[in-house]
Amino acid sequence: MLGKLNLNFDREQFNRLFPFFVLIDSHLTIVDAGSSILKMKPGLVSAPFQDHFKLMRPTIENLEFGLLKDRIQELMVIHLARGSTLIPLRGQLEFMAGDNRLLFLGSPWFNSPDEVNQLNLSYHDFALHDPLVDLLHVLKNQEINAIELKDLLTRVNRQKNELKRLSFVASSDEYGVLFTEINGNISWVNQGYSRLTGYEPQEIQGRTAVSVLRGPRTEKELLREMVTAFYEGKNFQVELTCYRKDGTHFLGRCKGQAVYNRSGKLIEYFAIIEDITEAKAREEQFRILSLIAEENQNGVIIADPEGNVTWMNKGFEQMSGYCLDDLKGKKPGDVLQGPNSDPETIRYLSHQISTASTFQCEILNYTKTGTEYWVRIQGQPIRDKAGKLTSYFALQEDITIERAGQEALRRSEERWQFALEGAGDGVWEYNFQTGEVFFSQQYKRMLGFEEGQFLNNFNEWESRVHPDDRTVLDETERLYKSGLMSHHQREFRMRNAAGQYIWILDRGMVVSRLENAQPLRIIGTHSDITERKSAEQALTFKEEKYRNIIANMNLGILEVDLQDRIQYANPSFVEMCGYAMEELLGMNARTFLTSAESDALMTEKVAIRTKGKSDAYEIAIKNKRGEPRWWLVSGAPSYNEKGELIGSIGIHLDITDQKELQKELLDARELAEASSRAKETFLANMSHEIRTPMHAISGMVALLLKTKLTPTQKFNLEVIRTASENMLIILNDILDLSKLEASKLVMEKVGFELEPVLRKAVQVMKIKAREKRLDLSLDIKLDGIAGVLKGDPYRLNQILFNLMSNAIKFTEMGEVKVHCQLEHNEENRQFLRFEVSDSGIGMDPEFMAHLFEKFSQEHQSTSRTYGGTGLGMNITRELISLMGGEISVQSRKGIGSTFTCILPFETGTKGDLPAELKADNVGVVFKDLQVLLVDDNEMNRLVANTLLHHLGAVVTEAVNGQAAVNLVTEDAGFDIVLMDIQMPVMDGIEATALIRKRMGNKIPIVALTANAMKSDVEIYKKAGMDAVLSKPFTEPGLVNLLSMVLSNNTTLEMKKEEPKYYDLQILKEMSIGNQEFIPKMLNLFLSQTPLLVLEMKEAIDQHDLSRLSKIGHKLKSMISTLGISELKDDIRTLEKASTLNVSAARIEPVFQKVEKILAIVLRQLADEITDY
Amino acid sequence: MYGIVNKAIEELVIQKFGQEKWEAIKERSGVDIDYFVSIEPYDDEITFLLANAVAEEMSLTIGEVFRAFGEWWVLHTAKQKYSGMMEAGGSNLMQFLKNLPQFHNRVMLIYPRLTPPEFSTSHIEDSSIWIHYRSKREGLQEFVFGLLSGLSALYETPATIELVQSRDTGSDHEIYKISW
Repeated sequence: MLGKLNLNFDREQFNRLFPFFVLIDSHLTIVDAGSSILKMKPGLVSAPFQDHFKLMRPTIENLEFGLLKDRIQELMVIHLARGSTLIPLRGQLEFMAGDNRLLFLGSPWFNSPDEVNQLNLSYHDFALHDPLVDLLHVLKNQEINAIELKDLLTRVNRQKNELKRLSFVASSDEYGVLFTEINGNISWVNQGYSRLTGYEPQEIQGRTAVSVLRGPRTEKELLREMVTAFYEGKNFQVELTCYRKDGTHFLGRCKGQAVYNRSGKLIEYFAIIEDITEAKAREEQFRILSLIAEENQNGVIIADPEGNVTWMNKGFEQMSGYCLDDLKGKKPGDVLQGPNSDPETIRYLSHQISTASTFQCEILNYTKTGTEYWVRIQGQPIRDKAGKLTSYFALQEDITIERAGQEALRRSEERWQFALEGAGDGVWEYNFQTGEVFFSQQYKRMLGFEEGQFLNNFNEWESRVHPDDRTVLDETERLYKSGLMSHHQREFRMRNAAGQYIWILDRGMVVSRLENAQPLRIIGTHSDITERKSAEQALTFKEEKYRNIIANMNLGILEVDLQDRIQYANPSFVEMCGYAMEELLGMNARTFLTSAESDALMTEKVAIRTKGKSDAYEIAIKNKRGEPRWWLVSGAPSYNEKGELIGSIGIHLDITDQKELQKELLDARELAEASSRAKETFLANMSHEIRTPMHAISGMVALLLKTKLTPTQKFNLEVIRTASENMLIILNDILDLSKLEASKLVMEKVGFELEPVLRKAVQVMKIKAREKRLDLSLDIKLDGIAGVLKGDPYRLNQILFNLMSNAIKFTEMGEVKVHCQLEHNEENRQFLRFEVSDSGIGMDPEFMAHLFEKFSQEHQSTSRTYGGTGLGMNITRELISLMGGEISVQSRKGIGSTFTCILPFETGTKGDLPAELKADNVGVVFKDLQVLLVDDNEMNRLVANTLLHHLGAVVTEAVNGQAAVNLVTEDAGFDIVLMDIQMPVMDGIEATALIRKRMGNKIPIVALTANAMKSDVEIYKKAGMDAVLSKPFTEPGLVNLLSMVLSNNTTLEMKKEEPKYYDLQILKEMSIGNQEFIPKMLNLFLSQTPLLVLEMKEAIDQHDLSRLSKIGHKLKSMISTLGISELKDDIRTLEKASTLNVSAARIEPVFQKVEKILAIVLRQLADEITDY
Repeated sequence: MYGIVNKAIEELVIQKFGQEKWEAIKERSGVDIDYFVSIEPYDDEITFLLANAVAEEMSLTIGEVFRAFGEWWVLHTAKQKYSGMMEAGGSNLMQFLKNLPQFHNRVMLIYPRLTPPEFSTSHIEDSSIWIHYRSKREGLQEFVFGLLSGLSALYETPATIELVQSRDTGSDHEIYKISW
């Protein structure tokens, strides 16, 4: 219809409808294009049409606007060029008269939806009314469909093939296959079934399988089994008689299988039937045959044509020890034959088998365990109907026993032969009747002959017998002939080839007799027993020898049986015990015993003998006369020839005299020891007893001398002092001597410096020398002498004193010179030479000889003139030799004497020197020193106490160890304990040990003892004593020792260095002249502070910070008043504890410091107060 | 439903549980169809039988089965066979959901025997939308749920889906609120 339709579209609308439009002008320039086409290719607008598009249909050569205009009624296909692709667009042209333009309307053409995606176009780029993409989708579905169809066909084909395969099975001829429904009705049968039963499928369809197959002979139980399984849906296998259509029957093996679907539901049955009639028959035959073979005792093997075992019976298994698995597939020979199997026979066997022939042989086989056995094999090839070899059959018979018999016989013969020939015996045979005689080769050889040299001739043989022995031969012959003897054994000598006589053991036996029982033949052996004979003789000789020894020896030999009955006693024993020989034999050996102990001892020894042991012991007995004797017995078990214990043999020696001597010696020793102990005790006692009063005397004198005295009193006291000193010296000398004699004097080994010791000693002596207006000089050559020597300086002093004092004593005018130098050096020690020379009266040679003896003085008068015990020199010499040195003297009467002694000292180092004592500390050390003085002796206590008090110490006394222990426990603050050793109730050692161990108290304890022997010192040190002070002690000695002990003790140091923590300045200012004020304040502090400290501790334990702060505040004022500056900050911390909320960890150390310092202050103030 | 749906169920089961299990499930379902032809329509009942068998066999609820199926449908089947069309639906989740009604209308022509459900939208906000689902069929609510969650996964826009109302609770149609 013509006319105008006024529809105005804006560009957007138009584009929605035709997103692929293209507008071209008369110049074929693209004026506009749709968004979708621009999407595909931007930049089209104002571009020439032909630059981007190509007209496919209709084909126009030389494209022109006018030409196009003419073709507007035609379907148009244009290609948009995009890169290398050309996109086809399908559409049509319209001429827009108004603008003289051509409008192309269309859309791209695709073959599949995928192509749309490839151009990055989406469905939105198409107008909704454009069905193209949807149609493409439809196409796609068709594609999918086609693919699926193909897939399906492939599957079907596969299944078809599988079915085909199965159907072959089903259609096989041999087996009958049938399917039944679950009610038992036959649903399908194969051809095989038909052939087997004679029924065609259609004839039996719908009938039950059982009804078809059964007949009169069908085994009812098997049928029932089948049916039961069927109804239970189980598989079954039965062999039963089945019937054909024609009424004949066969033996059929029916295997039924229930068929279930995936859900486990029974859907049908499937069964296979097989005609096994013939097979069964053959089986039965085979079974019977194999039974025969199986039960056969002989071994039966069946092998294949190559000879490899295929079957064997029980008999074979038993014979060989192998079972079928061991041999199956192997050749019997390979397994059964072994090293001793005859190779010839083996070859024969393999030959026969290879030629498929029969065989028979005897061969040695080996069982599985390696035992040999003999078999007789019979083998036979078995052929099939065609005559081809199918297998071998072999029967094996065990003939081991048969053979063994033969073997045994052969071997015994062999053995006999060997025995005879090999053993070296000669064999002979003699015929009584004919007188014929036979000698074996060995026989002849035994006599040293070769075969031909010695003839089987009786006379010749007889001639060789020793003439003395011929009677033996005659005797045996007579006995034989008289029938009294059938065998004999005799020894005689025969002359051998070398002409020597050898001993022969001849044994023979009658082996055959005549009818009248007379011996006919006798055979025997001759053995060379020459050696044995000579051994016998040697033995006999030895026996004689020993018998003589035993009979004649001085020791008594006694042999008893197991019941102690005497079996034998030799003459010496008889003498020893006093009994006669006849009395002894059979007597019980215990008769000699005197006491229960010796009886017990004997029992013990008997027991030992039964164990087969020998030993020696002493035993007390009494002899026949009843005299007690001591015997030393060496006993051994005695055995018979069987090795059985039959008793014991003892050798006895009388040791009575020796025993006596032993006893005497023991007594003497005990006496000596007792006396030695007594001496020791005496020494100790004397030492103590003497020193104690001496100690008192000299101590008191010293003290008295310190007090105010009148000149007369002083003079008198001096005399007493000198006298007591002298006495002490003498006493010491005597004690030293005793010690030396008792070997109880021990040298010290301490470090010392030589020069000071010498100088000091000379210094002391100078006084004495000056008294006599003599010159005393010291000359030391220090070169090479070690700075520190180790030795006993005290004893060195003693020696030098003695020498010097003697020199001074015996010199009226002139000088005494002391000289010292190095004598010689060794690795760790030096020898020093000391010379003391004087210009004194000298000694004459006779006296010099006895100089060093005890109590020697030149004249009786000398002692009165010069005094002295005369012990000095002796002691000096003893000391020197104890030190390892030597002394010598040169003297000329009227000129003078020189004493030279050479002493060794070990070299030491500075460290060996004992700790130095500080004399300047004396005053400080002893002031206020708390001393516990323990001594049972009132005098001793008085002396020590006075001394100590004078030094400024505070002394507490205890009368014995027990009291001391009690006092120390209470911790009364002692600084040192002076402990006497010998005290009643509890001595010093026990008390010290108690204090140390039980109470763990480390207070210094000094032993006071009169016994200062080194061994005792050790004991004291071990008990826990720190030092030893020997009585009597002097003030310097006491001071020095105490200083030394105390300087090792730190508490003293602290005391020395303790500063004053308080300052009374403030108090002093406050007191302004009020005398009472300060002590009042101090007392207040002293009384209140300890309580406050306790309260503070409580508060801290209870974490009560406010209470702590309050107490701290109280203490603070006191602390500042007393100027305890050390605690200023600490007390403030405690005071502020609660407000600052100080932690417990911080409080604890602060409080501890406060507590400590306050305690010291309290103590220091307590002292201070006394001054007020 | 078209065979492609049942085929999708088969693919889902085989992929997740294996061939054996699928055989068992098919056996259990009683569905005796050897092969599903994609473009052939099958009785709806078959789909339900299969889904039930899956639920029974795998001890899941039928709802869980349909939901899983819904997701699978979007993420595998649609993606493979309808990828273009899915894109056409929209370039993001909101667009697609807004276009859902149109989408189904388009599909109707290609599958003549398809009785598609009716989808409409409402309560469109910046990131949430209500989808109304009207269908003659019963029992596919979970399937729809699965489809929606599948879409959210497809557009990589994790979303929460609420069932605002349902026929199960007396309403006449289902409304799903999807927000992300």
